[in-house]
Amino acid sequence: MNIRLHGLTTILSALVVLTAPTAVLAQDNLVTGELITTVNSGTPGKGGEVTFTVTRDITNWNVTSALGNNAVVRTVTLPIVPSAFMVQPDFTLKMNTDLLESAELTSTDPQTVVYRIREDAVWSDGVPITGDDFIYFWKTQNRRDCPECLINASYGHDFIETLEQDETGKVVTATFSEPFVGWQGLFMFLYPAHLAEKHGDIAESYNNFLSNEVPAWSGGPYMVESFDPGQLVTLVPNPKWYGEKGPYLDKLKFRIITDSTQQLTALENGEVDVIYPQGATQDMVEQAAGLDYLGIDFQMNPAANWYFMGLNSKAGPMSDIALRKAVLTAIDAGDLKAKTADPYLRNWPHMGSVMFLPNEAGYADRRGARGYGTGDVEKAKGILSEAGYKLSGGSLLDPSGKPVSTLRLGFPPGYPAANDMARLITGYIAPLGLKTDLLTGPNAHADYLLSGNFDLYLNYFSQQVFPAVKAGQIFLRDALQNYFGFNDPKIEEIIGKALAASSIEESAAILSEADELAMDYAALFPIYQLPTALIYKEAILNLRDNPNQLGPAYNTAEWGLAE
Amino acid sequence: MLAYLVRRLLVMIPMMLIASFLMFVVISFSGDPLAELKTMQPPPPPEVLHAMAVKLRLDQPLLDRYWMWLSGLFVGDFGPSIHNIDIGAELVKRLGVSLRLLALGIVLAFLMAVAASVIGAVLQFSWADHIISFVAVAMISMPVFWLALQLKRLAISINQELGFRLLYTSGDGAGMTASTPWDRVLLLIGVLALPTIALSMQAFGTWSRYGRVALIDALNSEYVKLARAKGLSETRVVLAHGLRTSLAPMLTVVAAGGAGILGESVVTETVFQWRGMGDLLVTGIQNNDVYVVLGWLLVAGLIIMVFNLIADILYAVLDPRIRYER
Repeated sequence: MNIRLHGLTTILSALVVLTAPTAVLAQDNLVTGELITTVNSGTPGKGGEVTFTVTRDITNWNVTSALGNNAVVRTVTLPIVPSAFMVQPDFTLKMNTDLLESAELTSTDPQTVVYRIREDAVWSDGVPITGDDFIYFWKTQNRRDCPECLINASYGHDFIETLEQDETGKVVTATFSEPFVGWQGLFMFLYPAHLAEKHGDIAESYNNFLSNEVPAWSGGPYMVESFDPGQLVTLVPNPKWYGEKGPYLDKLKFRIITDSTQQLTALENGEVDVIYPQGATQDMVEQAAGLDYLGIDFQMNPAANWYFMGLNSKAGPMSDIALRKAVLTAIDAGDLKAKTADPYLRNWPHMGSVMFLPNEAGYADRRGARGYGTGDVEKAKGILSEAGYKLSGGSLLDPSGKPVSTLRLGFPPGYPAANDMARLITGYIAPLGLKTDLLTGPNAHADYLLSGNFDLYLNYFSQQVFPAVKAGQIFLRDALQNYFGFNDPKIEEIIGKALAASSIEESAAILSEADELAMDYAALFPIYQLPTALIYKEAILNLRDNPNQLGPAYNTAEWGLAE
Repeated sequence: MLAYLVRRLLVMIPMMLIASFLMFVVISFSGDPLAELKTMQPPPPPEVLHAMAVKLRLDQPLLDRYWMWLSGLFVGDFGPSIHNIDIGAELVKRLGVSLRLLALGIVLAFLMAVAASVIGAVLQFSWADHIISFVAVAMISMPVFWLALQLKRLAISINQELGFRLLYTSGDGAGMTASTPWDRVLLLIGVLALPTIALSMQAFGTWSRYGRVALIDALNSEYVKLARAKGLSETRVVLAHGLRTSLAPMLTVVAAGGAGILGESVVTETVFQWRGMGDLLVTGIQNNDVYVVLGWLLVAGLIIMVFNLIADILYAVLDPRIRYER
């Protein structure tokens, strides 16, 4: 009888969990202000294990390569691969004081940077980390010494003309061919040159040894103990770790759970300790909020990724700037955010710039200043009327009297907000006599965005720590991400100046002007930032969200369990 | 029988060739394998994309690519993977993982179906028969992913009630360690229980319905009446005469359905995060990894043909009235 009752209780409790209402909202867990770099701080005890969940298998270990450059490889290799600088949760760059004594800009003409590597910085086999490692990495990335290296992007390493080390190998001098504001973003990952040279030439070692072999080496606080493909990566402390703090944990595990909806279940069942799902949804946030009875906490932040709607200015009806401006004016950004973000991200910030995030120097609401996103249909109709468009029988006629074709509005699957946004935008522009065909599918990027087979496209861009660098990837005429046809020499000139500025602040001030011009071009409509959600057992200390490309694993040496 | 087998095997060769060509054409046009790379932020340099295209033979005409792939199969080369996967080795490894799950699922479903058939047929229209019928129909109607999710919720509640983690909701046990033999047994049960139950339930529902009808038919046949008239015990009549005959159509359904379970395993493996064939297909499609998907379809096609062949052979073995000589 007891067993029956027990079983019944179990089933009923499962049903209760399934149907229980949840109401806790994300803003309670939004980390703001200076807290972003200090939240969840503490002095952990020695020992214990933490299992962190990642969302895809690792088939390439080289995070700087085209095939290895993803959030999962970055997360898993950050505890292994040393970096000259680290992007902090507040989006500032901080020198890695475990690795470097200093990194100084010693001259601006030519731009020269001197890196001084700490004497005690060594690889896990005891071999010192030296200028050889800097030079090897630079050669793989600069597109001159190793064109066969399958890199993701050079990120400015091609600006370095010469890279030399002194006789100790601990002082490295980089001389730039032209000024580059993003020098602190270089050498973000360093690989052991002395091991690479045993595995063929630069291309062979980069494309095979560093990419396909599980690292048996480390220059960070942890090193790989084992790897079960598709399941688990287990790290243990690097016995030669030279850093000031940690590592505290006996084992740091990365469990691969590719279906993000299953991660929360695994956390609830105690199989993992931390999850960091990509694209936190309302359901996920509400479920996480309901797990506080298990000692589970979570942090949320606006990510470096921001939603946008691009307008194809190269071809089709959107090649007319008047129509582009009218569409952007008719969209009600407030309503869009209220319906897709605010239900679980109350007071979520708008994006009013296409080059800066709201927390970055140089940001201003340039979207609102132009009347974009106001939902002002009458003003939008005025723009169209002035340009010779006519509304007839519910359809829009272009200045030659032909009906404007149905707009192809593409978006990738997998982002519920994008799906909702597509439908809402369809409604906002309907009063202008515009209709849409919603286009999506697993190959949406290839079928529509890359092929130019769209008029409007919803997606997100990932901001980089140097806005000028990111701007160069989107707004230059031959830029690989210029999907929307930006073609303004003035914008290019300003971006060039911003890249050559002597400081981030000066670069931002210069780039602001390009931001204004890009907004005037009306081919890119910023919406809002995606949310990040770091959901974890509250016993883990110093674990904090780092909502940029690096993610929470930027400080694994400090992670540990409360005593 | 041997001649029949040889004939069936020979027919399979042109079938596989035609199927492989159709698969190759359809999959080659299903998407750009480099799309993910091209839409990275930032995308790799054009020369890197070109090198990847050459590696994936995208610079070759379609027919040449097909021939290279087909001829490579004979030397164990399943073609290049965008993610540097050794496809042949991966298929073998993944098949091993899936077969563990499939074998357990099929055995569990079959045993439950046989038991349910016997109860349903012998106690026809009793309350037990009605309950079993209801459960069977419910299992047939229930999508595997939904059942799997409910099992997970139930498992969490059970674990919380027990005060320790008996049941696991993700992973096939790889990387998990247990210190004592008893812990290892518990771990094995813990990782196998939920996916096996999820995978077997729909098959159980279908097979038990077939089994019940087949057994009722058999028990109403003349030779069973004769067996009863000869004074054989009811147990012997049911098990030795009725069940054996009814197993013939049931095993045909099981063999054909065994291939169908392969499809359900895609969902089960995804929900429970098993890195078997189902997961390989899903990630292959997500990555537009053309040769991985082709390798998967080839193996799946072979499995389906083999299951059908087994069904035919079993039919002959279990039902003496059926022979294939002519």
